[in-house]
Amino acid sequence: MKEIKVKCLSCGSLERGDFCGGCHTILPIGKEEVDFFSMFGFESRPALDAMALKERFLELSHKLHPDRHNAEQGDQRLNVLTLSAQLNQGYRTLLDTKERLRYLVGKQTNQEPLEAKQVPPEMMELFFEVHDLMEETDTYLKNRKPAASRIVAALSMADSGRTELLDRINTLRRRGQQKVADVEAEINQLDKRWDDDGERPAILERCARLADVLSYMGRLTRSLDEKELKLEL
Amino acid sequence: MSKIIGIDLGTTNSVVSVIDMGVPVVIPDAEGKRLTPSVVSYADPEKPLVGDPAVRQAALHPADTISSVKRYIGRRGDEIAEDELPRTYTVIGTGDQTAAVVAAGRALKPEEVSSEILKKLKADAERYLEEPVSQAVITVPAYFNDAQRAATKRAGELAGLEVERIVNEPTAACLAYGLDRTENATVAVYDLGGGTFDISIVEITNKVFRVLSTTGNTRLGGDDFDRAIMDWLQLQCPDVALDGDLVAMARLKEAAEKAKIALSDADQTDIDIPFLKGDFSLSVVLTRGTFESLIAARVDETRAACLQALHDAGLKPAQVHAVILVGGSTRIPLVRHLVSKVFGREPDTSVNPDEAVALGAGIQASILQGGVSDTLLLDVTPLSLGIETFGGLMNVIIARNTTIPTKAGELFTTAVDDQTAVNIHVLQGEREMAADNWTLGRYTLPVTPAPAGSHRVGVQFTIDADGILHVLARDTNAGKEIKAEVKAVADVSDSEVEAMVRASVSHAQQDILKRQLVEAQISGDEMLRATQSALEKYGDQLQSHERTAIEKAWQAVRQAIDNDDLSSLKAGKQQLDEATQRLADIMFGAAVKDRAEAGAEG
Repeated sequence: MKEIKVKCLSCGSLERGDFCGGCHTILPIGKEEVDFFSMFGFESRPALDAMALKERFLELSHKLHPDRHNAEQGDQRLNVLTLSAQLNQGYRTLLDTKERLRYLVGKQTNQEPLEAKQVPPEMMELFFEVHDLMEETDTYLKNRKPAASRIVAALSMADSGRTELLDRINTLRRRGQQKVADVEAEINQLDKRWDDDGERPAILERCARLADVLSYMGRLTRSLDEKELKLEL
Repeated sequence: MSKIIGIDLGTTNSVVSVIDMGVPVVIPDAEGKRLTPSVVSYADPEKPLVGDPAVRQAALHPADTISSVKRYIGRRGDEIAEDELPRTYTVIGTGDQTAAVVAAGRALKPEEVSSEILKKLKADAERYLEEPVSQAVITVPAYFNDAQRAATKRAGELAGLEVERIVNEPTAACLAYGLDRTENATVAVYDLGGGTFDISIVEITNKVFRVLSTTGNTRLGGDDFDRAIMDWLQLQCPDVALDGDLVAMARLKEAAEKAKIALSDADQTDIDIPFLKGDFSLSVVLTRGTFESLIAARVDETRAACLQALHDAGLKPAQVHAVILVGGSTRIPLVRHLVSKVFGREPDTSVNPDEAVALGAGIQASILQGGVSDTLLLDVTPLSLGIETFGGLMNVIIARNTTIPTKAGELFTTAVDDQTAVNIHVLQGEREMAADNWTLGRYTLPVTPAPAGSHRVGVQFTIDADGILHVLARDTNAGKEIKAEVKAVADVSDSEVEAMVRASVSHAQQDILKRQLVEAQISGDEMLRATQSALEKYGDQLQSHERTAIEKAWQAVRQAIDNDDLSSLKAGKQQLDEATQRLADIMFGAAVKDRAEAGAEG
């Protein structure tokens, strides 16, 4: 991994990244966009150790958070804000597998991967099942009146139509979780072949597709969760 | 460098703290009291009284004594519902005007009233520290929106305090809880105060307190429970006209609050108010059971928020290691019961529910000064932020529960040919339609006329460590830029205020009563049907006297609906609600059991 050395404007020492460990001064932000992988000291590749990422994030937060630089004024204060915001954004991006794959593909191919407008073929069946269940749940919820008293609320809690919908939501969610686990396993397989330059374009292509699958999965899970919550209340 | 103080500016009570020799301590006032009632009396407009002296004015000068002003800070007239208005003083403001309170014939902004409380706390701290104080960390409910946060910050400035940081109350309480603990844990903070409710899920790893999710309701708290008791008390004397009698209302409120507190320990309490109206003296007994039936529906609302917060954090209740209770209302047994039911564990009561938030604010103040240097707080933005796009939809730019500080931007384009300006409508909230969310500001970016789609407008949102939003919009073609701080909604002019005062006096009482009757009839009818079908399913589990009580209340409601009799209907519904509590519990129990079994199968 290429290490980027930056000269600290305050004490003159050379430091890696955006933060001077020597004099605890935040360095000015260049026009160049930061690389999230190197920000956390990782190589750009499909698989990532989430525990190590979290540890590194907490460590950097300790140094970069605005709370640690409350005495700074003016531009320096803005720099702290920007860096801290980047750190949070970087963590969010790398932690989420879908976001990470998209980011990786974007960095490696120098263009943002296009989001698929079409449901990935392997998702079709689940997609339709979730869709049907959502419509049924909406109809059920529409016919349910808001409860003005506890006895009304209790009656709707005990309704068998509601429990049946909740069971079906759970079943579909479990199938979705299995799908996500399969994707994670495949990413680990791809990662093993990553260092072979000849294979890389194909791996990146596959990463973009897996990101699509995860994106659809995320959407499906979110709708399931949302309906479940509405049924629970 | 003088010390930064930590302030919990509460709905009911306020507390100030500071770090002394490395330990957070609550600063007592000159009388040695640790809690200052958040009450300001303008009985003498030149010399407002704060705290206990103001409380003593409440029964004498109810209209000029302002309590719970926090409920109205940073809010617009149209956000405040009829039943949310105070009963002892006047709140004005219509449409998108900011709400103001009326005291001593003047309209005061809520932040002005709050600043009186802050001035008193500042003076207490200066006396205790024996040096001037000019900086503070002030807490706000996690679910406060941008306008409410900004208004709180202004209250601090009006009191002569530089507000170094606005911190969320549950997060602050969590800091106080976790300061001396070394083990890593995931905790839930359930904060039910006088006027607001928050639930936050916080992960503590190596002394970094990272908020995973937060949600709440800024209009739910002990005040609402007091109101429920006040309503019940009025039902006990249907022949005495109390509406509009401010002194009587103030006395009812005082008695209601006392009864509520007593019922946290006792099974029943006597409420005696001599000469409440003329020669009428009220004397009734309120049991804990009745009290619980009065507030059960509101307490149940917090359950939904807990589930939402867990869901947003991606956790199951069993993955939470401790549930911390904060806020005076968490002393209510029914509330504790609900918390242990939702999380499947007894709540942790190791922190003082009245002081934890202030202590946390003090700790955060010390973190900012470099005193406590091994601890760090990573908070989130509680509400999604975005802008209105074509079709009146809200386009989310920063999603709720994003760790702050954060920056995010998006490019937009013009929708119409030869547009001369792009309007940027900044929104906060979770609803899909722009109109259903809070408006934080509207900005206009002039552009040169060009065909639709040819302009690229970049909008960048930055949320700073206080959780306050800064907006930057840029026309990328022309390089034009507007920088915008979200400003409070326009200040109200004096003449407008006067007009509002007049309007609020000539309130259309008739209309309100009629609307109340229709609403009560609809909900009463619904209760009757629900009760009937609940009895069919689970009636056999009731004892005969329970059935008789339900049937009697059922008939009373039926009759009141048919006779268009609002006060009997209110009383009857209350009676029926109370009589069906156990039936409702049986059914909730059955539903929960069914779910547990279904979960176990999978």
